[in-house]
Amino acid sequence: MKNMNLYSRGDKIFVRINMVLLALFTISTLYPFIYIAAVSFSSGFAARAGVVVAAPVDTTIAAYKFVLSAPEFWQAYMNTFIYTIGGTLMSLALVIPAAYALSRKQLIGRRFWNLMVAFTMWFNAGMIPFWLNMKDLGLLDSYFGIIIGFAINAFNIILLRNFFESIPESFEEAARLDGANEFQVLWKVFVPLSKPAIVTITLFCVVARWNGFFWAMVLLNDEGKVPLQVYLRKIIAELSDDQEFSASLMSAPYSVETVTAAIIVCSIIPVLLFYPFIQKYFNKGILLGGVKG
Amino acid sequence: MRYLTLTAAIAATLAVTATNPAFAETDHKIVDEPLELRIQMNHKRYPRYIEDWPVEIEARKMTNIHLKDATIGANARSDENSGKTEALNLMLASGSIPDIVGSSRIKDFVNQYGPEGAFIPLNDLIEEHAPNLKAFFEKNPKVASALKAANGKMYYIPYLPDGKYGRAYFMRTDWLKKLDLKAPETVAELETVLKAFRDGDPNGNGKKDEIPFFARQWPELIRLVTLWDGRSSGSDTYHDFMVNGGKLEHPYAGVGYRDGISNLARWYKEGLIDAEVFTRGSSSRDYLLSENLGGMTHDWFASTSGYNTSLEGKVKDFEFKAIAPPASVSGKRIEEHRRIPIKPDGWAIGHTNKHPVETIKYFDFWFSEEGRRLANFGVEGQQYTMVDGKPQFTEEMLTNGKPINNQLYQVGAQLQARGYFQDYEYEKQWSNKFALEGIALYDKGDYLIDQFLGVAFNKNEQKVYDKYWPSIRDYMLERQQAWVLGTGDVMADWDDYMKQLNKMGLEKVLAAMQSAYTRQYGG
Repeated sequence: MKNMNLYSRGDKIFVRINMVLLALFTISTLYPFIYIAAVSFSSGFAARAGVVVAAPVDTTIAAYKFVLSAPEFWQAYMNTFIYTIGGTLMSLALVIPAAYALSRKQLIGRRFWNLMVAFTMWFNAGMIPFWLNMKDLGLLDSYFGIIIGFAINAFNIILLRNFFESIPESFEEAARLDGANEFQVLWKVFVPLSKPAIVTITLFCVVARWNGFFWAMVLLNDEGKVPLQVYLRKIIAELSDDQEFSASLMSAPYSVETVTAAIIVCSIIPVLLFYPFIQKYFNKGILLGGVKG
Repeated sequence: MRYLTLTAAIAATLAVTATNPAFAETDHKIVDEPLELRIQMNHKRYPRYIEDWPVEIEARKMTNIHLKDATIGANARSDENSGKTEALNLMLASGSIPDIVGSSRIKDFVNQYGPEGAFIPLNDLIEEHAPNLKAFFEKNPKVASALKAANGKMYYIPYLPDGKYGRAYFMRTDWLKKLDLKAPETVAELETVLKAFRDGDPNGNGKKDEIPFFARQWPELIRLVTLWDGRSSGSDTYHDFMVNGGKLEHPYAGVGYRDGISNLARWYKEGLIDAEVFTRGSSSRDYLLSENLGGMTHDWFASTSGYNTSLEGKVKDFEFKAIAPPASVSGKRIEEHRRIPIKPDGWAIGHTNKHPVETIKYFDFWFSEEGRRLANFGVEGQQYTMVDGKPQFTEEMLTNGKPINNQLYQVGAQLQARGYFQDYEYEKQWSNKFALEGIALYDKGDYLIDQFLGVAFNKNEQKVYDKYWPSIRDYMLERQQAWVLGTGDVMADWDDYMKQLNKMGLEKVLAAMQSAYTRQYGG
């Protein structure tokens, strides 16, 4: 803005219009969040009648009281953390070595292995066979089953493999001349150089785990082990059933809409807090000053 | 069906009145040594069988049969709309079907896999070992027929809802008073009332913003064709087939329907029907009533009556009461919607069950007087006490602010994945007084009509149905909407419409349904 006088008249108009458009775009992406937050603080009646626009109507915290007072909610919240943190660490522990191996020319049958990994992106066995497989492995209804069962994602492996392949061979050669073995090459050279890619994959994993719903629903039997998303669906099903059936809920200060919104607000807070810390990695340059020459 | 409901009512009264202490001591022990049976139970409200439910503990004491939870896929809920039961598919895939399988939407599942051997047919077992069930089916032969699979066998014991009344006509009776009108007795009077709602400014804001008729679910608008002797559905499911003198028909291929739609299109054009009726959706009732805009709807007794309480003081003079169905053009007064007497929910016996006789006796226990009371009201002394020989919920239950049905689920009563006969008395004790008033009005007028209880197809019939029906249905609904919205004229289009329906295979579908119906209900 301070250099505005450098622009010609036409440019100025263009910049202003641009700003307005970008502001509108920002508002349109922000609005769903504002709306959900507003609904969560509104009365059940107002939310059901659809009169909430951007600010709470008949402000109340009844929905939060309802949500936060249920021990199942906290249990599900904790489970989501377990699956997210455990699952992400497990994924990184498996994906990084796999991508490294696949990126190395000295790997025997490299083309074949790459093809096998890519194959799983297009073809898989389907729900029931997968479920039976998990059952036979004794991984139903366990935290570990959920964490290990979905640790590998072929797309992430290929993403990271491509990144590793783009790192000049001279790095590896230099490290080997200094006497590094494979592990040291991976850990001391490739991983530090690949931080942006690894952070990207971490984010993918975290988001997928945080939102993970379907398989958690199918594989877990114990209600005490379900993540937040499965719990959310349970609450919605129960409350909408009550609402349809019983007139006494009509005058309750909360409704299925406000409770749903309150759970959503609670569940996005950690993601909102986490995101700014890793965002900086996304625009960092790659291979900054790697080879001097 | 009148006969059926009457006998049901008698049975219900008998069940609650005949309780002298000597009777209550009836021995329900099925086995001398405690017997454990494994159960899979899926329902969105209670995704597994809880062995600590007070009702289960009580039933265990009475029968000596102990149900052990063996539920697979507890968190995979069945979809109420599509009826897909993921959990049951998982159970089947796992290869272990427990002794008892109880689920919502179990009907199609057992009717498909039962004849293939996954479930035990119940007919002979009931005949020999289940006196209460046998007596019930003898009294309700239509229910017994409706339960049959395509091979004529019965594979599950259903949840049988009690209480006939579902939806009703509701009207702003305070607006009627204000405009000096009476509740409409005929379809012509109804039109006058709706016009007065439109023009007479009953909400008194000086604006012509009243919406005379609205509906949360748009098929409730189509239901108004009954005022011109048409039909919108034959059962409690929208757009369903209907039975007319033993013959299957589809309501959307009837002359009354044509006339009804033609008049509804006129009403729509004249602004008597909510212009957004097809799109406003579930919030319309809350919005239009709380904003003092809506005049009339057709909706559930219980929840709609609730607005008299929740909007009291918020909307001046608010009174939204049930009115009797106006007489149709030919003078018939009917209420097309009612609760269906039999649900596709319930329980069945798995083929690996080594104790089918004890199991059917256990199923039978829930149809005994004490068993039925346990299933409906919970445990005596905990959820209810006996007052003048009738179960009465405790003061605590009724006044703690939580919905009663919710509290009952939590103790294992009113489980709809269990086969039992509901007792309307349970709901009556906590119903809104406006709802009870409306129900009394409908009861007095006897407006309900017979329902189509569904058929079980054999493989060929199913094939015909699956091949033709979905596209016919889409076409019907597409035309229906176009006519109401005024982009077509039903009177002019009717002959072509009927020709098109038959070209698309309606006659074949009806023939398939008819053959299934005749097999099942004996014509």
